[in-house]
Amino acid sequence: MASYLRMIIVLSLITLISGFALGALNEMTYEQAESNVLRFKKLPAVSTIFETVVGPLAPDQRAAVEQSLLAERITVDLGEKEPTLLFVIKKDGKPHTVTLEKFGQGFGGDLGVMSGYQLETGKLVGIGITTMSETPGVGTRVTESIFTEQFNSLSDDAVIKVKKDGGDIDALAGATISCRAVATAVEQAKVFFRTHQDKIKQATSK
Amino acid sequence: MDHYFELIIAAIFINNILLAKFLGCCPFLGVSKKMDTAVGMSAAVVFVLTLAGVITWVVSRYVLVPYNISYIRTLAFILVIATLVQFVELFLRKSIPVLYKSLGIFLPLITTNCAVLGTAIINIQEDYSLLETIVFSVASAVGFGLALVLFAGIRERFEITRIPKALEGTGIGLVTAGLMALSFFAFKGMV
Amino acid sequence: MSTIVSEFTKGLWKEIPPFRLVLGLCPVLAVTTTMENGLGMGLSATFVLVCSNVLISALRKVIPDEVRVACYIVVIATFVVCVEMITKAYFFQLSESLGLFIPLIVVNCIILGRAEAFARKNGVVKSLADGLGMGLGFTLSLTVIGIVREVFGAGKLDLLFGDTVFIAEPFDFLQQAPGAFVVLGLMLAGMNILGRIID
Repeated sequence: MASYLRMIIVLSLITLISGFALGALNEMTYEQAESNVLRFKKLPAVSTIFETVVGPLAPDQRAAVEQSLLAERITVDLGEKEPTLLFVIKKDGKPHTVTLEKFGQGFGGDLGVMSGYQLETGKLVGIGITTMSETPGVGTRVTESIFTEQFNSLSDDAVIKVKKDGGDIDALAGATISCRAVATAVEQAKVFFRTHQDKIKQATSK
Repeated sequence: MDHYFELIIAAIFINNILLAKFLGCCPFLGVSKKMDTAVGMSAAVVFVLTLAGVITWVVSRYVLVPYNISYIRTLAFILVIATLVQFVELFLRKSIPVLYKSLGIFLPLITTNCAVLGTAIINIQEDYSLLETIVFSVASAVGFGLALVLFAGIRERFEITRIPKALEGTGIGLVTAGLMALSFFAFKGMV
Repeated sequence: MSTIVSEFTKGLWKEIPPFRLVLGLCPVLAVTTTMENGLGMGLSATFVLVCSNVLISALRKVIPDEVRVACYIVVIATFVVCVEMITKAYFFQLSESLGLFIPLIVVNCIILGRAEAFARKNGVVKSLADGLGMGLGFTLSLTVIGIVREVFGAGKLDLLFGDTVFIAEPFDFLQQAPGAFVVLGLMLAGMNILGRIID
């Protein structure tokens, strides 16, 4: 009996101590980890969209622009589980384009796409890939500009689906599923933006 | 329906858990010398991996996420898996001794089989629903079993083949696995 | 003193994982596409191995025999979660490229193996030496494999030489999954030959 008791006490003590230690460490590192996700995953996608709106960035400008994009991000409660994170791209000092992230079901899991919309017209201006775990060399090609740039100049009534599904997007050979995932994410984001356009506009003008 | 089919094909052939994701290499090289042990191990993995996938999914969804302690996921999952393996062992010994005889010796090895923990974590990272979790877990385990059994079939032949001395044992095993992985690569162009 | 030194050095040659002690192959195969990843993975595993070896050896008289494996797993998992959090916060790129394989250090057979075979029978200092030796041996192996695969598979060595290209048309196969198996198999054979010449 005593040995059973000892087993239970030792095991629970170890677990308890480890739980507290990890909780404390999590408190210390959590914010840094979160800001890393913003900086290294979402921001590069936002700055590609920035470049299509405002123009190419010189290498020495990039850091400053990314800093201000990061600083000017807003979160708006649009009835989703969590408040929606929006990046605001300014042109001539005024909010011009808003980017938001949506996900499509890719080949190796969720594929995140950031897409930007003009505040006034709601026109899609460009996309950038944020996260994915697609097959290297096949599905990962969706990040190449030859694929992503066709979203920049889509006409307003274009159907955002790959051609195989009756849309206007050229899929990359051998990577149909990944391309389809991107198209789905963009289409979702477009619908989402249009439904909430007024609220988003209001939020950016604050 | 299509979606599940894709998930299955991808998990078994294209992203084979062993040959493309390198999960579970230790048992792959350890128990593949004989066909019957390979079959036994594969069966045990299919069984435990599926159960572990479902239980860890439930733990994550209803315990870790609501209480905002997802950061101890690794710790929680490995404990769940270790406990599960113990229970399965006890249960099999008491209720289905026949099955225990054939799977029993592999069970303790499964706790440290990274295929099990790996799949459990992938399920959560990919935000799979419960049904997707089940499908993905079964398919991954079947992919593991397939690779293991095929590999054991090849490896049995090493006994009657002359192998360069330096490559004997694990060395030739790894090179063979490499060639197998190469042939599984062919599936990549399929979808 | 000499035993402590020998506990340390055995991990670097006589029992160097994963060549002599064929354990923990998953990360060896999966993350060694570049030198940087190999080194990062090796150091993460070394951290966990050293900490868990020391703690387990310090607690060896307290932990009841019947539940020792469960205790070891909790201790190891705790340190692994620490590594997970620290890399996510301060080495983000590394944590992205190692991904799943950081949490999987928990099930790395080397770590549980050293706890079971060494730390629970030996003193703290000896266990520290053993963990450090094994860990650095593992790191060394991973780094070398990473260098081989990066130089011949990608034609450059990012960590040391930046964008300098050594080989214009590298052998891409070495960067892919099948290449990992073949490289490790051949290096194992090379180690066998080398070992026979030296001993």
